[in-house]
Amino acid sequence: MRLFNLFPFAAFLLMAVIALPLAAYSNEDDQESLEALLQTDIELKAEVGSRSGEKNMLDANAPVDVITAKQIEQSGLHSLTHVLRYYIAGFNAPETSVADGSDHVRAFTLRGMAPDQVLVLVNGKRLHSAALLHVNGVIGRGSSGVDLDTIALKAIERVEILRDGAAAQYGSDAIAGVINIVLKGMGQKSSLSINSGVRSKRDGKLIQGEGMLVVPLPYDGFINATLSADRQQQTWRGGPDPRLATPRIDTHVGIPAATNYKAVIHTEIPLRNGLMPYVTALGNQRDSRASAFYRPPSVSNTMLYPNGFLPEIKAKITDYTLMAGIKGEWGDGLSWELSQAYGSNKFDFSVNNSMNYTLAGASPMVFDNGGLQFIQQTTNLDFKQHRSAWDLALGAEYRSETYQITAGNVASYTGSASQGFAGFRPENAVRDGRTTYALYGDASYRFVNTLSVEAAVRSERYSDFGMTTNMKLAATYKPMPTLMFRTGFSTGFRAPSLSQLFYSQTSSFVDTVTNTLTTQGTFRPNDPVAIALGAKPLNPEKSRHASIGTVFQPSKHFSLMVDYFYTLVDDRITLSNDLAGATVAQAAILTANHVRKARFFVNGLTTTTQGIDVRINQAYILAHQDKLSLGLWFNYNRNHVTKFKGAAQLHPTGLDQIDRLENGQPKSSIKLLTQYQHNDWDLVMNFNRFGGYKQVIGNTSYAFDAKWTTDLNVTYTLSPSVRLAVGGSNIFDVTPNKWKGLSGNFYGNNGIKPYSRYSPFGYSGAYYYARLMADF
Amino acid sequence: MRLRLFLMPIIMLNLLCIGQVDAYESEDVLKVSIIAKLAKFVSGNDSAGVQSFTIAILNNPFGGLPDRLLTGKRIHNHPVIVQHIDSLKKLGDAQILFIPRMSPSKMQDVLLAMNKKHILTISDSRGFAQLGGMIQMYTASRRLKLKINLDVARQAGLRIRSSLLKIAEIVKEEK
Repeated sequence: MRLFNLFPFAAFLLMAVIALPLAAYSNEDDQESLEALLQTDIELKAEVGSRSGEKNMLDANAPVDVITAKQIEQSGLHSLTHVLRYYIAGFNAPETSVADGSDHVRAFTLRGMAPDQVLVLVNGKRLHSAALLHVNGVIGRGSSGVDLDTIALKAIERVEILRDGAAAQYGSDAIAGVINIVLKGMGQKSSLSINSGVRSKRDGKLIQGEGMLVVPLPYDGFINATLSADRQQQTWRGGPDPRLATPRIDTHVGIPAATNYKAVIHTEIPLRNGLMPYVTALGNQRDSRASAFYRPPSVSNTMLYPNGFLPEIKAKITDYTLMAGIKGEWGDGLSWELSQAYGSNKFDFSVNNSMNYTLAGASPMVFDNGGLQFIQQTTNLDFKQHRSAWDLALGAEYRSETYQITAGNVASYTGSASQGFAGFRPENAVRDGRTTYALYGDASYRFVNTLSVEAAVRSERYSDFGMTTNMKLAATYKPMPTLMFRTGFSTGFRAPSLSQLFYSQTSSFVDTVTNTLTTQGTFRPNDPVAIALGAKPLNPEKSRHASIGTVFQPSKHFSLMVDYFYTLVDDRITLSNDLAGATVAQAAILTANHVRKARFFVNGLTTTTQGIDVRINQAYILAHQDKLSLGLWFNYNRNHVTKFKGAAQLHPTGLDQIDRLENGQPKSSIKLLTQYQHNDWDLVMNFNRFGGYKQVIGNTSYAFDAKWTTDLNVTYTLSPSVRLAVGGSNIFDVTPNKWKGLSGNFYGNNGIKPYSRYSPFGYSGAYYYARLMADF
Repeated sequence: MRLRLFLMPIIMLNLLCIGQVDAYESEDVLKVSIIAKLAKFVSGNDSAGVQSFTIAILNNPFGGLPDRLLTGKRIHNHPVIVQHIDSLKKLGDAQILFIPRMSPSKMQDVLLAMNKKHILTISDSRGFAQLGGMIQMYTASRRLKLKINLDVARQAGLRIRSSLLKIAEIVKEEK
């Protein structure tokens, strides 16, 4: 176990043990002043994982992490995906590049599972996923996850991360975990901040401004209106293009250029009669710019581009959510809530500086390539009954989902299509959807003070595949106040996403051998070509979860959590390989349908995920009220493909598909978090270990080493309302190792892409920033 | 190697750290502690001749905490007595009444019953101060904060020290 020989890990554990005797509980409340009490942080609470309301995260029956607004600010980062990668062990969000739409919407995973196996909530309400389907060879290939970067950070009070299956409570997608984003509520101050940063290679400049206006309303109501704008420049980390006589860097490999506008309005209006209407609106407009591979000069393009060209793929992402509802109480601890949420994510593709070779000199250089849209409407009616020993929650949900593809202009798809990214064809265009009805219940009961049990069941009818019922049982046992054991078992599911059901992108061309119009690309599972090749109607993924863990909390400043988890996912949906006639029967089907090659989604895999989460937190008050907080978060996960059902549709050896799932993401992750507060100074230094990973090129799996990175943030309080922070992420400018033993024009240590796109911390290197914050 | 160089000072600091430790506190513990602290900033609610300082807690939401944290303490030189009540009819000669979270309509009934009594009313119920309560505790950014309805306190003949008013938000009753 080389991992455990790591010096920092062992040193930290040792120090934690040494420090333990110092951590004797001391009730000094009586000597504390009122002001000191008002300056004391309250225990971290989380609502996610139980419908019985907020509770101390250390008392939860499954592992829960909480990232606070202060931690978000101290990260110095400008997007939620970055922030979670910064703090959460086992949260993976590679910065892929030259991967079409995947450059613009960052896929993220928990425990090495898939992006669409994480459910995201805002204030406990389901957030819609992105319209984009990741179809290239990226982490999350074949899935549509939520775009976390659509939410202004300043509007967030905390982020709760439940690392457990919870489909029995929240429905589809809650397999690897649930992320609940809680927006700032009452009692906030208006604030402004400006943030600017640059990469070590002096590119990738970022400037960001954020402001939140707080308008208090009667009876502790509020309107919190947040605006955020940022402009991100590209980073260039590609290698010189070996195809050129004089190799030079000609392809953008790195962070895309992007302009982001985000808005959040969150309001609650308590009425004197006890009712409380609320409205939450989220909006994001993002213009993002990346590229495909450079096209060197050739007979096909010199009429327009004598020196070759770099196709620029642009994404215009429009995302918005409107949630409205009303809460009330009927006395005796019975509360109710009726809510309606409408969310939309629209992704419009365009390609600049490109051409359609078929159109030769008549080709346009700018293309409208069509777009994708996902719309989700959710209506919930919830009831909660609280009693001293038990909580009961019942609810009903109606949800409708719509998926749409709009075609691009003719030049973007006709003939050879626009270089860099082909437009969607009219036959790809679709608008389809489904509806679901769900009933759910959740009950928890506390036997004396030591034993607590919770049971949840959720029954749901989908208009496309029918009924599914899932359950969860969990228990906590506290033999003594400082020690708790917890365990849980649940079943879950993930409905096929609408993008997996309805996405298609095909190109047609004249086959010069047969002189017939021939098609290739991604087909819907219900397409006759796909059916002829063996596609079946997609079923939901079905999962089973088990976890067992312990929480040891000998004092209010030290806690240790250790949890083992196991998840089995059956009928896991995956994109097939390109079927190009590997067998006689397959070739006959393709020929008969005038198709050169085809791929589509199948329920092709059974996988298991198991591992361990460890989290240690401790803090000290030193001389002069200085405060030192230490945290160690460790995640180990092992993903294994146990059944490979799709041999007919997947790769003959399955190496690419299997290796990405089993080895494409780090199996281990460590976060060492330290914070030191001294008077007006606040120092944060975090150490991150990203475990090794592998990527398959051809039929060979290439390994990449584990790496440590270091983050630093120093905040100085200039006045009670003004703070200045400077710092950096990955301050020692660590980069992943380049391909070992692979050389090639595109992928290889001397190629255009010298790094793996799977790198869990990107390959753009150090980022340094300064940030000025003011409260009013 | 670079990493070790950076970790060493932190580890050394860890070894050297001494003194009381205090990372965070339970919300309920803080609330109960603050209730007792608030009493020291308020006068006019201690009747002449009374030998104890009574903190009444309506429908106690804190479990055993009030007895554990408050019993045996002294406020204004009087021993503290914690009185658990489930109805205002059982409210005796208390100096403080803590009212748990409840619907605004019920809260208005409670406050109407308490109108102009020389008893400091405290609650963590949302909107409490603007409904006519005296001191409201609420949570924002992981800290407990205070709202005070000074007019209501004055109408009840209570005096609140300026040092408390400085660290609280003063609100008016919404009519």
